[in-house]
Amino acid sequence: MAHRFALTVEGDLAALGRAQRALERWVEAAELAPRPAYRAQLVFEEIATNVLKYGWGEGEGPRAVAVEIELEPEALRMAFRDRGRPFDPTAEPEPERPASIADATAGGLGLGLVRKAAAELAYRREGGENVTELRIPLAGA
Amino acid sequence: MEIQIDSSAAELRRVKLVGRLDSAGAGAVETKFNAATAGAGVDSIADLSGVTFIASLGIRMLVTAARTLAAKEKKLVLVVGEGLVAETLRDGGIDQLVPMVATAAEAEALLASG
Repeated sequence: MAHRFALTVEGDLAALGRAQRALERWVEAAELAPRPAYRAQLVFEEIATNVLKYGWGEGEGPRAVAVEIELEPEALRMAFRDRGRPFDPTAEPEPERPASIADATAGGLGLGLVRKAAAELAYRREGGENVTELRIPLAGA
Repeated sequence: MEIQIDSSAAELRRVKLVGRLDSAGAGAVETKFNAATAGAGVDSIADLSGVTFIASLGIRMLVTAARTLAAKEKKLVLVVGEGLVAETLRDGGIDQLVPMVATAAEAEALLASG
């Protein structure tokens, strides 16, 4: 069973869909418990979506985000790299929870879901790349 | 991602979603979902019991429809059993904004009670 998953998503959200199928097959082959398997796919979806949608301005690119996942005894370690505009997810303020559905905004949920799913979230800018790393515990599944 | 729309009742839409409600899934059904719920402007039930995965773009689709319906004094009720999809909706605070129940019968009772 492979302990490492690595893939680069290039282009748009259609490419992300294909990458998700590949990750889905990997978490099945790795026989992960349901919760970490789900969280790995959720974090991948949210971070990759954010990078591909907002990492570059109109007409800029190429748009690409690379992910590496290492299966360790107690956790999944995930690392994302992209050459888009600098974005530090650890510096983003927690969005205010709306008081009612009338006050709800359509966006801004993704980063909150990543924070809930990840035990650790770290960011650095390195060699012109955003490097976002996090850890998903295997316990408590 | 599959979407099944039951429009047999004039004042109620029952919409069942099956599959992964991720960016690709939401993109595939969003137009039909919005037309069937917010566009119709009637109380609506979104049955998510067949949804195996949900991410923020899928949640956004549900919140947008619920907000539009609320502006028309109508409701969207989500049917979602216990599991990781329900956990994700709670993590996003959606259970505080949109009613979540376990069965379609509970959803209909909730809408009937006003």
